[in-house]
Amino acid sequence: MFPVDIYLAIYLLFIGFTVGILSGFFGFGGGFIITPFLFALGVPMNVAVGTSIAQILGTSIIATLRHRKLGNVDLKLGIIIAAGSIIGVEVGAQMVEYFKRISTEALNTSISLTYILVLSLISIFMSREAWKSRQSNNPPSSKITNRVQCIRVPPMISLPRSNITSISLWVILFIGFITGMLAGFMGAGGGFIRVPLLIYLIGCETVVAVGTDLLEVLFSGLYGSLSHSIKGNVDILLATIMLAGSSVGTQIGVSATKYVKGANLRLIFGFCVGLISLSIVFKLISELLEIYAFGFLSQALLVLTVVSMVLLVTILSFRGRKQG
Amino acid sequence: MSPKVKIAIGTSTSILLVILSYYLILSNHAVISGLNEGNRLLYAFLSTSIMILLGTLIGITWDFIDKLFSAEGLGSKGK
Repeated sequence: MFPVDIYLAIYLLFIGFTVGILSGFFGFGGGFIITPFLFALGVPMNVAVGTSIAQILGTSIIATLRHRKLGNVDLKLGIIIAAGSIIGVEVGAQMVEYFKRISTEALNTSISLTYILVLSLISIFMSREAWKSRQSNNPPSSKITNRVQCIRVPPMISLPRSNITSISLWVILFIGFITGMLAGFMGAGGGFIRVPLLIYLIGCETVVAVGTDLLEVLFSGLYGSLSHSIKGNVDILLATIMLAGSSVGTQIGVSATKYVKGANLRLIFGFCVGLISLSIVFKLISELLEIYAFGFLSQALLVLTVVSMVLLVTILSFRGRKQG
Repeated sequence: MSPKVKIAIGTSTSILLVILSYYLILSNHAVISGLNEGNRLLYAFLSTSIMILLGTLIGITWDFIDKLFSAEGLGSKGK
């Protein structure tokens, strides 16, 4: 049990608040923020990861309930994606074991390179597409979506909440599998991969993609929380304090999605993912070339990204509420 | 009983339940954490249940608060 005084409790409330805002707005779990912050406080890495997942479980329940109220959750789609994801996560974990057997350095480098490649691709594609849609007021590119929906492998299902009349069940399971595999390999929840895939491959509305992704985060959080607490990696006191902060942050994040156009949300998402990717590039340079200034730069950029996104979402939420 | 009163009762009950849950968890966290050393399975079940319970209760409370403010808005417009 990690000792908690009043100052630490305030700090944890603030971290929870920050994660809640980003989780509600983008559909991220937020593990990439909580884990390093807890680790920096002196919490052992395994406990930081386990506690972060337990906290994500609570936050995702609050955010999913709120998004469901706004009609942003496609329950059927979320459950099918989750089923594909579970198998994918196991394959991803096996890939980690494979690279670990080669060498730990090979593992770390391959994970960092995958992060950079995936995040950069998402960031560039999403920002470009959102910028064009923003200027022409068009919905997200439908070429890829049409091709995906043309795959007629039975059973075909309909997803009325996502305005999809017919799509193959196997396509959704496959997308779930790919996101699960990448998430399992990269050790992340996978929200930043799933949201773009739900928008561009399946053809979901941006806010529905965010809401449905949070449902998937809930399922993986439940599994992760049980698994980590059996191993003794969850500090329930830290998790409950952070949850109190995130309960308020989530409401601000979800409210902001009501007042932001889909294209603008995608643009902010792409920008945020791009900055995170740049931060990982700096970290990799620092580790490979042993230039420690880049390590500092990487952390500073991550903090700056989180703070600027939190401020932006809060302003959007309050400005929208004032106007609407 | 008017819907507004029902929502107000729901809101206050759910807020009370959240506070009560937090009080019980924080005042007994030493006992709960002690299970981490003794019975891991029970600890896993309990800690996950706590997060689900708190998440659901807080989610429902926010839902009630939202309804309460909407009802207040409608009420004042009606007047």
